[in-house]
Amino acid sequence: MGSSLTVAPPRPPLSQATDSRILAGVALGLAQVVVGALLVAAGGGLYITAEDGVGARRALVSAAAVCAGLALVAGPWWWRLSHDLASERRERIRVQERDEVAAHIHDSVLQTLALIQRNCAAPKAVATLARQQERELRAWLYGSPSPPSADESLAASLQRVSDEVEDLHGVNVETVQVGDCPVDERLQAVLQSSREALSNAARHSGAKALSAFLEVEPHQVTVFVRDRGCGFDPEAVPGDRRGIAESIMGRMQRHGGKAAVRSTPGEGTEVELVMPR
Amino acid sequence: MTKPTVFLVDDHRLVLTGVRAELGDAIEVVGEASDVDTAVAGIRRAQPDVVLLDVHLPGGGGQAVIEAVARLHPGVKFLALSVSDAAEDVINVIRAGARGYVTKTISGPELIDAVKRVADGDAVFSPRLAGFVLDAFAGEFQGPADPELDQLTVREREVLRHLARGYSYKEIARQLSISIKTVETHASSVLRKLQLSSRHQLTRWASDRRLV
Repeated sequence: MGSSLTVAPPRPPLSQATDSRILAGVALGLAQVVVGALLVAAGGGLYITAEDGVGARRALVSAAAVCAGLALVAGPWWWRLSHDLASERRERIRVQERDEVAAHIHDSVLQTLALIQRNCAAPKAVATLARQQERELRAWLYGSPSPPSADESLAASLQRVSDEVEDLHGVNVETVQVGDCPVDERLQAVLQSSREALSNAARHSGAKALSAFLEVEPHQVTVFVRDRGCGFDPEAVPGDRRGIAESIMGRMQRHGGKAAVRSTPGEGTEVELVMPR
Repeated sequence: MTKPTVFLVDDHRLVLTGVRAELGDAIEVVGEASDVDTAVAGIRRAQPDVVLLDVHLPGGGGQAVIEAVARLHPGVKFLALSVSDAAEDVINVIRAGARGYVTKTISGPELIDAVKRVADGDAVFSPRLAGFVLDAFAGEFQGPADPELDQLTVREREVLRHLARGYSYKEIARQLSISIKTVETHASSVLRKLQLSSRHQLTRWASDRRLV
C-alpha cells in the first residue's frame, strides 16, 4: 500500500502585530498618561485653592477631574490585561478545535481519498465514495447536526458506525453490545475513535471479519475492536501516521479517556478504548 | 475421533445446501428437515450426534423440536444456527436445551469446530450469545437467589467478555494463562446457569430486547 497519510496542518505564528502598530500604541499610551496626569494635578490644585464659600462645587469638580485622570492613566493597562487573558483563552480553544478538525479530516476526507486511489480502476465505486464523502462533509461543515442525532443511544450509534464501515470497506463487523446509555460529548469521542479503529482494521489488517464489543458499566464505557489480520509492530509505526496516535489515542485522551493498541504481527490487532462515566 | 453425525433443520433450502457444502467431509450429514414435525420424526429415526437447527421454523420453532426430542433421546445434542439475533429467540432455544448458538455468518471451519465441540458435550458461544448472557446476568438479582445458578463468577464473566470480543477458547486460554479444558468448563457452567437459573430477568430482559 503506497498511500501515506501525512497531515501536518500549518501552524501560523500566534499574533502578528506590526512595528508601526506597536509605535502608534506606545504614542497613544504616552499621550493618555500625560493628559491623565495633568487632570489629576489640576483637580488637586483646585481642591487646595478652594475657599470655604465656593468650595462645595469646586471640590466636586476636582474630584471628578481626579477620577477621570486616574481612569485615563490606569484604564488602558487594565483593558490590555483582560484583553490578553481573553485572547490567550481563545487561542487555547482554537488549538484544541484545530486538533479536532484535523482528526475529523483525517477520519473522513483522507480516508476517502485513500480509498479512491485504491479504487481508481472502478469509476462507479469512486463516484459513490466521492458522493458519500461530499454529503458527509457538507453536513459537518454547514452545521446540520451531524448524523448521530441527540436521542440515539450509544449501542445504536456504534451499530450505525459498524454498518457504515461495512458499507465503505466491504468487510463484516460483528457488533456485540452489553448495556446501553445516552451519547454525550465524551462518548461521541469514543464513537469516533471506534470508527477509526474499525476502518484501520478494515484497510490495513487484510481480515474480512472484524469484531466490535461495547460494554456499558456504571463507572465506565469500554469498546474493543479486534481483527485476526496481519497485525503490525506498534513500535515501528512511522510518526507521521496520525491514525492511531491522533485519531485514537489523542482523541480519547483529550476527552479524559484512554486507549491501548495490542498487535502481534501475523495474529491480529486489538484496540481497547476506555472512557470513565 | 470418528466423524460426528449431524441432522440439519432449516426451512430455507439455500441454507441447507450451503451448510451441507461448508461441513464438507469433516462431518457426516445423516438427514435434513424443513419443519418441526418432519424434523422430530427424522431425528428419532437417524439418532444423530448433533442437530443443527434454525431458531425460526414453521410449526413452533427450534425450541419445539428440542422439547419433543430431548426427553426421549437425551444423547442427541442441539446447536442453534440462526440469522435471527433477537435475544428472546436465542435465550429460549438455549433454555430449551441447545448446547450453543452460532450465527449463519460463521465460517465453514468455525462451524465444523462448533459441531465437534457440541458433539463432545461442550458449550458453544458465538460472540453475540456471550454478549446476551453478560447483559442478562448484569445487575443484582432480586428475590431468593441461588448463587450457584443466579450469578456468574468473576472468571466466568472474564471468559464471556473474551468470547464477546471474538476470541476462541484457545486464544482465551492463552490470554488468561489457563488450560483450554478450564475455559471449556467455565463455558459449560455458564450454559448450565443460563438454562437453569430462576432469574426472572432472563425472560423479561430477553423480551424487552425484542424492541431493539
